[in-house]
Amino acid sequence: MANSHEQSLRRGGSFELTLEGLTKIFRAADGHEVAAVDRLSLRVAAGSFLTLCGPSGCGKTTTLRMIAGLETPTAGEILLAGESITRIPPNRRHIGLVFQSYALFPHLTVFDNVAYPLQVKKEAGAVIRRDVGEVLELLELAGFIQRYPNQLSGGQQQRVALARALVTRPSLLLFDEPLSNLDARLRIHVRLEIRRLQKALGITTVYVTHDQVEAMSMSDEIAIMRDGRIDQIGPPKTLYFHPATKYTAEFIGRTNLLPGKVLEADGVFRRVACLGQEFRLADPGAGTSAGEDVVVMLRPESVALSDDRSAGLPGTIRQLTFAGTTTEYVVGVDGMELLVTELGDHREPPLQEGGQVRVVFNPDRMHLLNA
Amino acid sequence: MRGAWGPRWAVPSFGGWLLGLPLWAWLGLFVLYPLVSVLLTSTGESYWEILAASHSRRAIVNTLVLGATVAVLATAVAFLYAYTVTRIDLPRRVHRLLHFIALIPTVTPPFVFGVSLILLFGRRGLVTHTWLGLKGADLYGFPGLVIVQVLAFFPYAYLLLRSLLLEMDPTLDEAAVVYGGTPLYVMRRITLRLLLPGCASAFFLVFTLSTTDLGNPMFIGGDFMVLTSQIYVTVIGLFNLKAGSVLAVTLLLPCLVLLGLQKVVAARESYATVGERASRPAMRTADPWIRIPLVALALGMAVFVIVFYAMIVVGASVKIWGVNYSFTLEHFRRVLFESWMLGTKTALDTMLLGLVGAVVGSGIGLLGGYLVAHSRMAGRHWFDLFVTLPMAVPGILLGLGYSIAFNRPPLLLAGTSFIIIAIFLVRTVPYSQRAVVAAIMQVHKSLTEASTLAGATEFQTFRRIIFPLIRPSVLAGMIFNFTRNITTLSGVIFVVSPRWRLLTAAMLAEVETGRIGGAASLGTLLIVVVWCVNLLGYFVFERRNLRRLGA
Repeated sequence: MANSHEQSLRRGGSFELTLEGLTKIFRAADGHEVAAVDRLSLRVAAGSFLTLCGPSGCGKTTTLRMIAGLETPTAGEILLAGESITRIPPNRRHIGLVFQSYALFPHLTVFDNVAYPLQVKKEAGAVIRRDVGEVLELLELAGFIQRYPNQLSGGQQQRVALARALVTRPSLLLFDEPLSNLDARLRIHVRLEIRRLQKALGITTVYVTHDQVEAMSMSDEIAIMRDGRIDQIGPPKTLYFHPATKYTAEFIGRTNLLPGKVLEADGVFRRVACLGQEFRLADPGAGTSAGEDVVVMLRPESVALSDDRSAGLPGTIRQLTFAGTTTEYVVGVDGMELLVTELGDHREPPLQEGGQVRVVFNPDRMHLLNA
Repeated sequence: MRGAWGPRWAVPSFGGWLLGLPLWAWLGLFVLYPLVSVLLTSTGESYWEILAASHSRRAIVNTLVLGATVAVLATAVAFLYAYTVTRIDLPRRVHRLLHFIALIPTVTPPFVFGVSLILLFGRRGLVTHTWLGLKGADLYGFPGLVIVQVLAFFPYAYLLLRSLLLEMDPTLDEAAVVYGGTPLYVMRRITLRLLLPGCASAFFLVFTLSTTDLGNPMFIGGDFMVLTSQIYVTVIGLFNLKAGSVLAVTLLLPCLVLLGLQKVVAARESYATVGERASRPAMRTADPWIRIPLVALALGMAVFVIVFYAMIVVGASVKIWGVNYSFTLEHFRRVLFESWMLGTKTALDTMLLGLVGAVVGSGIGLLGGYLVAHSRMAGRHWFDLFVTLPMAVPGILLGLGYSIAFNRPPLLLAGTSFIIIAIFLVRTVPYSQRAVVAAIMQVHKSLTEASTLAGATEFQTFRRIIFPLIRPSVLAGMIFNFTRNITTLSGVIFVVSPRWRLLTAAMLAEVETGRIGGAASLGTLLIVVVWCVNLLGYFVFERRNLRRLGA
């Protein structure tokens, strides 16, 4: 059974990946057991791009390594196209993985590095030359085939690693923080490149990163992980505007979390008190009964600064940071500090640190979370 | 933590066992069996009697006093030498020359320096007799042994301390200077302080080398008997295997204690080596108060090494030392071609057995190292411990074990070439295996994982990724093995036979019969062989590395 499945996977194409109750328990040196991944279940649609995102130690890399077969799950199943691959050894899973360190073989040329997966499968020389040539062409590496990895720049090494992962048309493509060794400018370029290729080839992809900007800009779906479990999974926009937990709200983007109280609730609208003001919200978040304490989430760009003395709340500018595209303020309001982001810097006269402003909330962008 | 011992799926335990089985068998037969044989021979009612005899007690005290003196002096010299090479502002060429000269004694049998001491400071020595005109004066005994052993063993301590100094974060020194420390103050309070654990390791290392040295106490010890020479005299001169065994087992004790102490020190304080190798060299001081005395000392040591070394060649090619200094090749002719070409056969035997031992030893080390570093073989930690244990076993104890265990059925190997190769293996495989383990650890885990994910089997990964990457250190290990094989005396002195002779043992015979010119010419021969092999290896590596880098 496993064999025929392996063969159908090898023909290439898009496959659905499912994790069912995946668990990995590590035994520490003192005999203490730690669940790095704890009964994790998720589904990645065929041909889509999922990012596992979370702080270090949340279990995202362990999850990826179990999918690759580099770690054996303590419990749970990994299914590809509906069939379990949990017990197939890693060298027969037909999976491409791009390592954080690239893991290029230092003693082999670019050509031999990329040809390696074909060579170990004893493919014919002509097939190897054709497939390697194609993938090197695709990644614009044709001019470097006789170079050794240490003669390449970081970005080129990255592309060779990607070429090696793609050359066998894997049934699944995995990335383990592949951009963390690149400088900021190159990172943006490679990010777009990976996404473009993945869409063009339609290979189901799992990507691990701790960088939420990377996650947001590339993924069809993001799974925010915490202590070996998924805190929330969903498309980037949902996680940004409608996070389910304070953890996800704070992990994705910058945010203001303010204390609030539900005054009135019906099926559609809430009336909420926050910092002495009242708002009428049509948000599907938490706080379904009157009198309940909630957390009001407001992204920095959903707060406006105004000169109008009748609008919003009085505040003092504590800190002002000009960051090119945006200007960021820390504003003291009612004993709290709010983050405010404005596009550009076209105020005349400009605001000054220590200056007085009025802070206006956009109720349409307010989102309620459980306190 | 994860994967410190290689991937979990690598070579499953059954396959590991199958591969490991011959290694376990070898361990039991050729390491444990001879050691147990000595232990059994030594035990009995007369154990304490033998140990309490005045000559035994004297030998033990002498061994400890000599070891401690040599270890303190050699470590001090090594620190100053290493400091000069890494921290003193000198032309690059001088640094390299000093470093190169310090390497010389590490590829030379230590007793070669003993022969030089005879030539320089013996009864008819160049200095004592010819220049100073002293009658019958010599430096034999304690002072001579201290000089020779410091000279022969300080390079081991130097190499250790030098690598620590190079690994030390240069910003520490820089910070100390920026906050106002004078160079001397920084050297004492920062550099030396951080290096203390390293100095302790160096001390233990030299102590062990000194206490297990047989050649020098035999050549120049005179009345100053230490344990090794006492064992030799007891076994060879008095045919008393039992008393020899008692002393040999006694010698094991300080070796094990020192090994333990070294582990403790290394575990307690290791911050000198924290971090990666420094990306830029440390500051080099030009302060004359430090520079002049240190450079003088280092150059003095270097000149000493060169003079002692050159003395062997000179001693081999003059007629009668102390009497007639005219040039001759008579000694070479005699040791090589007289008595039916016995010397030539000895030299060829030495190289043949040394080579076979080196190649087989590297092979075993490669297999063992791979199983330890990259498999799930059950009990591989124990295996690693047992294989590396002989590092702490004095060669003379091992040799005695072999001569006892394999001189009787069921394994009557005495007189064969096999017994000599077997003892070579025990004395080199630990180093080979450690080197292979270290080299495999250097291969980033993601490389083998990438190979596996690319579809390679364990064997393909080993053949195509791991082995090519560790090949330089395997080859270097082979050269090290060969050098160690053909320069050892204490390990083989009890197992050489008329059928299979070795150069080191032949040198001892020449010294014992007072033919110092013959000993010097055999020593020269040994040195030439060692240098040829090491230089050959050096050039092969350099060329390969250059090609690899595309330069």
